[in-house]
Amino acid sequence: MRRTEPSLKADANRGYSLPRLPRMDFVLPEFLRSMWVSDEARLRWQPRIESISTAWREMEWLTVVEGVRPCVLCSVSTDGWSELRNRSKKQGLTVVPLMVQRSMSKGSAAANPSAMIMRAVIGRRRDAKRFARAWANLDCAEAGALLGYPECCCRFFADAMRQSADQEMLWTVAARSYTTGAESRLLRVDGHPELNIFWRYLGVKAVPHIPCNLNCADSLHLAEQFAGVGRSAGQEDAIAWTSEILRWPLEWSVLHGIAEMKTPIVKLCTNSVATRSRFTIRKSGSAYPEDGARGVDFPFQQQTAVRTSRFTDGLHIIYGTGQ
Amino acid sequence: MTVELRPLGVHCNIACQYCYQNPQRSAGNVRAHYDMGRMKQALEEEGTDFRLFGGEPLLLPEDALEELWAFGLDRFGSNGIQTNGTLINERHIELFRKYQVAVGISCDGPGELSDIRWAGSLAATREATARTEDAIERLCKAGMPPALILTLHRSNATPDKLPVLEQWLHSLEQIGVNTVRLHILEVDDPQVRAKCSLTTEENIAAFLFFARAEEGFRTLRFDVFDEMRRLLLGDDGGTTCIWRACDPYTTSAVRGVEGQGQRSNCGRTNKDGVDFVKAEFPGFERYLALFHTDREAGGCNGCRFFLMCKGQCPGTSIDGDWRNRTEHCEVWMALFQRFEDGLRQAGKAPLSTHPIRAQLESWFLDAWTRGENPNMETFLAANRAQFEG
Repeated sequence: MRRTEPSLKADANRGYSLPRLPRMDFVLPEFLRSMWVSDEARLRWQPRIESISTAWREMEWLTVVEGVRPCVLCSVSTDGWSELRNRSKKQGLTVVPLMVQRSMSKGSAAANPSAMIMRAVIGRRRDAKRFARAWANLDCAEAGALLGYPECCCRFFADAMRQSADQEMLWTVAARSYTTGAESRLLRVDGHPELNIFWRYLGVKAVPHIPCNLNCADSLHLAEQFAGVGRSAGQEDAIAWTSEILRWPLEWSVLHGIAEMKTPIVKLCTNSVATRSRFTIRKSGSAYPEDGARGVDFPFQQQTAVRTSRFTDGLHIIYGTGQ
Repeated sequence: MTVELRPLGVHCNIACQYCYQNPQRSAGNVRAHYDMGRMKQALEEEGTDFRLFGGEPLLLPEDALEELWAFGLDRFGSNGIQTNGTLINERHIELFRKYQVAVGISCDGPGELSDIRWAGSLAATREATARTEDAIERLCKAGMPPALILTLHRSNATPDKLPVLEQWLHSLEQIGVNTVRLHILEVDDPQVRAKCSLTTEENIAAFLFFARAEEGFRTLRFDVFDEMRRLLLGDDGGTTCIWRACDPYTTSAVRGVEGQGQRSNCGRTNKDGVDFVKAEFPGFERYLALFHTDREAGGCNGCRFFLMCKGQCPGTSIDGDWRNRTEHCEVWMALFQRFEDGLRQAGKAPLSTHPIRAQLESWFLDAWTRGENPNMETFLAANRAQFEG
């Protein structure tokens, strides 16, 4: 547990101010835990999500090999370092280490406190070196360009880092993409499924970056390029599953430093900004999985007319019909 | 830790208006099918005695009940059941005796005091309540007095009803009932809140009424009061889950086994109406956050009773959001204050005002950060001299 300084004020010199969540002055340790809606859903979707995650790492690397973008930023365990370097070398790519950090692969800091991973950049020697310099100089625009991110998204990210580095990026993006409710603590958003960034917690994504909003055309184009590379590499299943998952409705909320995301098949909690009140994002969906749960509220599919008057008739008889 | 076996899920023969399982029913997640082999396999894996639970577990056919209890007695040496008591017949009582089944009955009082346990019509409701009262008597006569769970609400705990309830409990004490668990109504529905729920002041008055009335009972105990007194002295071994920093993703005190053998959590935390499968490992983020979050924002920062209460059951959290503290905070605080006073008057040093409290809080925060959930008594045993002055 660590305490933080009060957050910085928005930069008045910028073209626009990004939305901010009012926060308290503590930060919870890192954690990520999940609950499946049923054993059936877990048995079907957990392996698929793991496959997607593996396929994505491969696609990220392949997009550099295929020349879609100059560099890829990756995380690799200390065990996998040599293999990655040798494999990249065969493609004429250089791996430049950037930093070492604690692994979150088991979800809880307590579960595996000593596991370490290396953050590294891979690209042609010149590009990788340029990226390492940009990384060291915190040059978001240069780093983002080398990673192939759209210019609008690099600019947004740089602004976000400058104005709200201690903020929750999901809220910042959603607040720029809302359909209704921006003024309140509940945002309802839709946007392109491919730019659904909420599933990143579990490694499911169609773009490698945080888009500037959930309808960003350039980001959508990048998603198509990634999917094309993936299909050529035989990752059709992973791409189809990703596409399906990103179309489901979900609810994300944050309160007291704990973010919770509810989806039709799994609910998870993770650390976030310590807000005093609950802030909620509801992302609509255009599909629902066969083994998704039925529940009483969004994002779960609701059965109409199940709640019979049996439950409420008694209330009126015992206590009368008034309040 | 309790293993709750729910062969028929939340399927029930009555429709208590306040039941915390109603979200699952509203969602249509009522399963009435079970697989005996899978349930037994799951119970073997749990490796400890279990309690039949529902919904109403006595909706199970008697031969299935016998098979489960024979299995339970053989493997674990004892059995348990939590029932509304409306279906108990002589054969059930025989089975309870034969297979050493400890019986818990949920009942909110005699006659009209239990009207909220709705059975479709007022006549049917009163008849069902009479059957429960009769079952309690028969169990006592058979030498197997049940433990009672009694939920307080507008039908049984307003000032005019409390003396009736007290009298009823005295009559039950005379026939052998000696354990009563008092529950505050857990509210998941605005209509139920508006119609059934006591106000905070009424809840405090009702609990204080029973705290005072307790002295008039010879053998009957309200276990929640005993727990609160013990907690104030740092004696938290064996206290119930509501005081134990329950993680709603794993609810370690309650391990549910459903009819197809799947594992589930305590239903009190289930506000979505979805019977989630337990998370892989526990976490205590709620308690770290509550400790640092001030009271106005739904936290417990600065509360001298935090170590005893820990924000209480996540199933009763403000706005149904487990990240908040319990919405019954004022009730528990009033009771802790009363017992704190009582302990001081008896010359004891409650932990809430003890100088060691800050150290103990830090120790808990460190443990929760590591993903552990310790007992206070472990710390106090290691620091006995400091604690006892």
